[in-house]
Amino acid sequence: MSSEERLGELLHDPRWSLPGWSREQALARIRRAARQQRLMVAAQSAAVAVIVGASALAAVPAAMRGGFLPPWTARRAAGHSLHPSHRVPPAGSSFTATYPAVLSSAAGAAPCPAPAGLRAPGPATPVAALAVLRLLGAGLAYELSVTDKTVRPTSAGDGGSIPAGERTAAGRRAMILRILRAGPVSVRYSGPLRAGVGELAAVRHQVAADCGDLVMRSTWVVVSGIPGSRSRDAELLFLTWRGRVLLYDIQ
Amino acid sequence: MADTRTGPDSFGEFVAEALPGLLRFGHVLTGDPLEAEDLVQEALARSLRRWRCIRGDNAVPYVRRAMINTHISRWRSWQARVRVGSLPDGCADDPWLRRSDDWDEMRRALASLPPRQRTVLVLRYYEDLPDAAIADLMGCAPVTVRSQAARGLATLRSRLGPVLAEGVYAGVTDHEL
Repeated sequence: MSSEERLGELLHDPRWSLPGWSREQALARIRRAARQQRLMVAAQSAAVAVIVGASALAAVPAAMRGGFLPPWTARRAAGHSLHPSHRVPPAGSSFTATYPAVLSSAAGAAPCPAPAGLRAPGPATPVAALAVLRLLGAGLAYELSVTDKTVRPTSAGDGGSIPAGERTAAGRRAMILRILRAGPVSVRYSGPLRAGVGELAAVRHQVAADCGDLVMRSTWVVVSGIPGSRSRDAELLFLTWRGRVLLYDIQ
Repeated sequence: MADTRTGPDSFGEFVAEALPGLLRFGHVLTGDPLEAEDLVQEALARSLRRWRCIRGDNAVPYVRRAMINTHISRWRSWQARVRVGSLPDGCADDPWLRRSDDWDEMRRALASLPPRQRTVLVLRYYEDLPDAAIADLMGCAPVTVRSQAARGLATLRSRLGPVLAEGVYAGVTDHEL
């Protein structure tokens, strides 16, 4: 018997079996867990589903003017051709933040953006996505000035006003902000999510499973982190929605 | 399996039918009975919320995939894990007791593996899935599956030499990377 056959034999040992649940007990447990998941989704829908809607409106024109992007962004953007037709219109001083509708929890486990208005990533997406990141890391005041007030508690990250139900999502957001503000940030990958490999393949499958194929194909992903610290990588997902590049998140 | 969407209580019927296998799969996957129950509960709750979209004959694979993804992501997100504790020595020469010890040792060794290696080994040697199917389930390349399996097997062999060598070692046909 080879070691592989022996391993298979041990894995089929009857002691792996567990006592079952009664039908009533099982359904009660599952429904209770489903309710908790729905509550989590609802909390995230309020706080995380779409974080920085209008940031790109101000970020992209600033990026186009140059001198705004950090070195790592400029390097990435250097060889990129930006056709005027792909530019995101600038934000006015009286902008109104608008966001894609969020699908109800019945349609997915995560707070997913509705597919209406989504577009495939275009030539301007790399610069716009990195510009949004730059905004997130540049300064909270500026971020808030172009962000709808409803996302302030989440954007504030470490602020004490975060409701208990939003702490997980807010914690993730705070982690991203800490990474972006911790100093030099490296971009390990910037590209369409559908082309992601390795760890990103799992993200791709998760987005497709949770939010559908269209959302996955419309997603641009930036993996950023602190140089020399792989454990602090952050995968940031962006959508192009009606000419805007939006940061979003999933559960 | 019959179409589990038919009838008003189809989800309940599906749970009653599939639960023993899912619990067992969760136990093999996690190595811990309580964690296995949590994993099954979480995956089934997720399935309940999407039950209308799940085809009847795909329900079990869907739940298993959810369990795999949840297990890997849980491990990734947790900074610390509670390992399965060491059992006291005291085995006798009784074959049944010795067999039990083999199982316990294997359980502890499996629990010490990184989640991806463990998942690959479980899917390959418990579910008897080919590498391509495992790669599809885990969202990675088949070569990654083979490398994870090779590393996992090497670790198990180093820790469980006598246990895995209970049979005859001649003619070992282990997969190579």
